[in-house]
Parts: sequence; C-alpha cells; structure tokens
Amino acid sequence: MTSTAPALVRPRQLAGVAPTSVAGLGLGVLALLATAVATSAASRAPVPVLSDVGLVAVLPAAYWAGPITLSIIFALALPEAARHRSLLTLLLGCLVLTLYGPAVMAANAPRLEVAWRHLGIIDTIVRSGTINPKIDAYFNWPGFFSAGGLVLEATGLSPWTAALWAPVWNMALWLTALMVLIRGLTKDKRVRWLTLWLFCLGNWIDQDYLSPQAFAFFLHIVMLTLAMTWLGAQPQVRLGASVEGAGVLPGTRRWWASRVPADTEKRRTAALFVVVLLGLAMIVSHQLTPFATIVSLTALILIGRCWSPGLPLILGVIVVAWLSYGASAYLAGHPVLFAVEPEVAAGANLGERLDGGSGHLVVVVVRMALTVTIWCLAAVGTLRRLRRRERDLRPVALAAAPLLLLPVQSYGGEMLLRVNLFALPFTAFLAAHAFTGRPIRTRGTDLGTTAAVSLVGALLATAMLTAKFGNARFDTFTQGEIAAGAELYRVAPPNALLLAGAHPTPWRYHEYTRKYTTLQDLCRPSDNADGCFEKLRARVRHGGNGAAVLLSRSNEESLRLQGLMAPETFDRIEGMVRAEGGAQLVYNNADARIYVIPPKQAKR
Amino acid sequence: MKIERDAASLVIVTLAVAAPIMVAFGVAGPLRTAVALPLVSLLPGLALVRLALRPIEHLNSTVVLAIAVSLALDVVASLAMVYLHTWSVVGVLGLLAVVTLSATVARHVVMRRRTA
Repeated sequence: MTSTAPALVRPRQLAGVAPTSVAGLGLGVLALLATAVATSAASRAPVPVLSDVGLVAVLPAAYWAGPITLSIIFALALPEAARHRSLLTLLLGCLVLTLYGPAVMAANAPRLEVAWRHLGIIDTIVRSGTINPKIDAYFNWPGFFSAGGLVLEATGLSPWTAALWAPVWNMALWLTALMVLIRGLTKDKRVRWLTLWLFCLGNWIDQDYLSPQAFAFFLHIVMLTLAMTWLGAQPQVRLGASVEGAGVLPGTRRWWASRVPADTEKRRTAALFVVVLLGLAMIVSHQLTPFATIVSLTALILIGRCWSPGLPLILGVIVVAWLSYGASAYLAGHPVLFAVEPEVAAGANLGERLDGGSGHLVVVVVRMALTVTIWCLAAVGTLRRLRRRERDLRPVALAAAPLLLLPVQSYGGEMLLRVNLFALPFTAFLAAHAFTGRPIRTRGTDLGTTAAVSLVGALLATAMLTAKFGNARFDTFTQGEIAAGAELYRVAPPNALLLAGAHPTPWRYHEYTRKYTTLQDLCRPSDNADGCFEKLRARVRHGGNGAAVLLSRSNEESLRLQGLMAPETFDRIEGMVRAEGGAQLVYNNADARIYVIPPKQAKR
Repeated sequence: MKIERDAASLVIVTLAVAAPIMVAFGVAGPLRTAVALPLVSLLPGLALVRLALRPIEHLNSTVVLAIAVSLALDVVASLAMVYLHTWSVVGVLGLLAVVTLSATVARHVVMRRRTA
C-alpha cells in the first residue's frame, strides 16, 4: 500500500506563490521599517537594566512600534495567507528579530552565564581533543559541544558572535522546522502561520541560547515531522467503532491492523535511518530531550499515526547504551535518574519559582499567566476543532505527552519550563484554531478575527518580552562586568580558586577546568554575613592556593532579586574580603571589583 | 532541469572539496566562513537527502532535513574522533566531504541507471 507523504510532497503547481499585491508590498515595507525602528530603539536601551521587571521597563517608547505594527500587519495578512506567503515569511523574520533581538542590541554581549560556560566547554574539548567525563555532567553529553567546536574552528566564526546571536538563529531554525511539521497537521494556511506566530509569542522559556537543549529541540521537531509524514500511518477504521463492534481486544487488533503507511517502503526505510541518526546525535548531546522525544513518538504510535512501533524501543536502547558508556561517570554520582516524590517535583518546579523580590514576582506571575493563556487558547481551539469534527488526535497527543515527564524529575527545578517548551508547538497549533473558527476554504476579511489576532498578538508580545527578559537586571551583563570577567584570568594567581558573588558572572569561557565557586553556592539564604564569610574563608583555605574574588553588580542584583541575600549582607561580606589580611583590590570599575587573596594569608 | 541539478551537484562537490583544503592551509577571513559553513551545516545532509529521500518538492523540507542530518553528522563525526583521540578539524571536515562526495556520486549513478 503506497501513497505520497502529505506534508512533504506536494504537486509542483501548488508550490508557487501568487503574485504579491501592491498592498502586500506596502505592508512588507512597513514591517521592515517598524523592525528597523524597534531594533534601533532597543540598541539605545540603557544597560545595566535598572528595573526589577527587566528589559521591558527600560525599552524606549519607539521600540513598541515594532511589535504592535507587526501584530496588526500579520492580522491583516492572515485571512489571505495563501496569497501572502512571502509577506508572512518576512513578518515572521521581523518578529523574531524584534522579540528575540532586543537584549542582543541593548547589551551587545551574550546574556546568561550558562552561554559563556558553554563556550568554555567547547574551548576545553577543542584544546584538549579529549573528553574527561569526570569534569561535570556536560562532559557526559558532549555531542553538541564537540560539534560546536568543529563549526567554530572550521568556519573561523568568533565564539562571542555565535553566542550573541544564538537566540535569533535558533529561533529561526526552530520555526523553519516547525513550518514543515505543521504542514503535516493541516492544510489551512491561516492555522499554519498563526501557529508559528503564537509559538514565537509564547516561547518565553529562554532555552534558545547557545545550548545543547536548543540543538536537541530542533532535532526533536525534525524527528516528530518524519514520524508523522514518511513514517506516518492512518487507521482505516475508528477505534471506538471497532471496539464497539468486536469487543475490546479484537476491536483494538482490527483497528491496529487497519493502519496503512503514508509512504513507500523505500522512503520509510530511509526515513527510519534518518530518525535514528538524529536520535543518536540528540542522545549524546542532551540528557532530557531524548525522553521527551520517546514519549512523543510513543504517543503517536498509540494513536495509530506512526508506522514504526519499534522506534521508541530503538531510541530507548541507544539511550541505555549511552548512559552505560558515555554517561556512566555521571550515573555513578547520580544513581537515581527518575525517582522524585511528587511533592518534591512540585516544589522544585513551581514553589521555588515564586520566591524573590516584588518585581521578580511580577515577572514570575506574567510567565505563569502567559503559559496559562496559551493553554487556555489551546483548550478553546480544541473545542472548535471538535465542533468542526476534526478528529486528528496528533496535536492533542503531542501537546499532552510531554506532561508525563513532569512528575518524574525536577531537572533542577526546570522541568515545568522544559515540558512547556516541548508542548508549545502543539499548544500553539491548537490555540491557532481559537482564532480560525470558519472553515478552511472560507476567504475574506473577518474584522472581529483580525482585531482579535492583532490585539492578542500585541498583548502576548508584551507579556513575552516581560517573561523572557524579566531577569535582565542580573542576566544581562555590562561591558564593565565582561571586562572584569576577562581581567580575572589575568590577575588570579596560578591554581587560585576563582570566586564570584553569584552565578550570573561572565566567566568560565576559558580555563573551564579551574576551580570555581560562588557565594551563592557556599552560603544559604539564612546565613548572615559573618557565617557566609567564614564559609568563604574555609573554602579558600581548603584550596590552599589563594583566591581571586570577583564581586559585581549583577551578582548583587541576582542575590537580592531571588531573595537569596540582602544587599547589606553582600556589602558586609565584601568589606570582610577587603579587610582580610593580605587581600588586595586589584581591579575596579563601575560594575565590578576583583580582590586577590594570596595563598599565605589564606592559610594563616 | 537536468542542467540545474547538475549545477547543484557541481556546487556541492566544489564546496565539499574546497572547505577541508582551505582549512588545512589556514585560510582565514570571510572566504573561509563562506566555504566551510555550508560543509558543516548543509552539504552532507543535502547530498544524502537528495540520494535517499527523493523527491522532496518543498524547498524548506529539503533544507530542514539537510541541516538536521548535517548537524547530526557533525556530532557523530566529531565525537567519534574525540573518543578515538584523533581529533582534528581538517580530519572531521575530510570525513564530511567524503560523505558528501559519496552520496553525490551515488545519486548520479542511480539517476543514470534509471534513465538508461
């Protein structure tokens, strides 16, 4: 039984684009102008960001011309989506640049300490040409980093540039893959474009920086696309009707046997090899994503929409093989991967995210509200699909499947965020149906829908910017902090401990294997200044080679905003470091200070 | 159409051969980026997709698959060389070039057999 794969193969005559109208051209030019105004305004935003609600509070008023204009143009173009493909592609590109680029434009430096750290891991692998899995967990899943080293070394691209622009490139890559995936789910072009638009607006989760998870998410989307198209299947009878007629087991067997593959055996075999290759690259690159992929593929198989029931098993075997070999060093220190009490998981995923200052709480509430809004719109869209008798279960199954990961592990308190990201392509798809109630072939402008899409788009854009850049006060670095991070390696005595105030520090991008720690790691929120300083002193003495202590504005802001340490305590600890015998202030700028504690005094 | 496809193969082969040579000779600057970037991000996947998954008529489907396969090959090839203690950028690029050239040649052989 053969048929063409519906999503990926289309008659050539349908692939063309209708001639772009003068109005379309005009809207395109307007979108480009709005984007230019927004990016130019974003580049004038003051850094450091001096607001507890983050970047959104300091963006110049002109910036908002961008997201608002783009939302309106998108809503106007959407009803004629088939004619305006070029315009909608342009709008999507403009939206990515406008929503994902402001921090790049404002700070002109990579955000998030972890992006700098990832550059350090790449640097370590490239310099040594080996992998020591005992260094830390990253070296147990080193695939992305070795490939990153290859790309940077081969192309001569600057690591700084790669990390700086990674959010924009990753988002562009995800959206390109999502375009293909969504094409397999609907013929309605309005729904396709609206899905991509809502994905952009709902993705505040901030996993698009230079990271293995961003790379693995791209592979995840492509694997699901292949599973739904070339490896896809379609039962010829309804499960309910089959069970009703023949009983549970025989009916289910009949339903299962009625599936027909979506493509030829030759292409299925080729697609299977591709999925396994992508799975292999994913499994050696990221700890969590393979589990989300396996769960999602299993969901597709259980609803009869994937022809290869053995695929999750093949991937599962590769996961186990990798855990037993490449990640065995990590497993030795972390014997239980998936056993967490539900209360612990809930606390880590939700409760701990509600701690912090009032501005930070506003950001957390906006994040939760944005997520809940997307899920509510998805629920409305699902009801509309049911009303239209659209019985394709795949988007619902793929939106729900990642939730199974939620109770099993806290993943450092981030599982809720990651699950939301894995579900987002499908919640966005379902949410798109909330705005497209009329049948597919109905054309013409519906003013109510146009107004709703532009209004919701502008509101979600504001919420997304608040949620995504809500920590900009501490995770966006100033040039002074970056200069101090570089200076740290110059002034620190050989083998000295490198110590910072907290984790938002632009360091570890080279000399990754040195000893690093922070006050945040050493002290508890309940510790007073004396207690915390004693821990610092003990740690320096334990190392025996002295320390270089970097204390910065972003360190202090991070500790304050997350409710981990009061500014007065931070200042008192800095005073104690300054007063420590032999300690010297060796570097000082408006945003950071470096003190060196020599080995002798540290031992005294 | 045939000329177009041959031209595409010619571009793929030229870039696949040029990139490792350029890196081996230490050529720097934008030219190196322009030649090496396609080899690490697109060409091996494109050659394999053109060979194994014909026909794909949507350009973005082809591009997405080609990028995904190329990046996956980057991971597998670079990691294999690291674990075998033979890490070398030129070596990995050479491997990617071999994959690209083999798939392109195999495609031509298959096409010729079909038209014969």
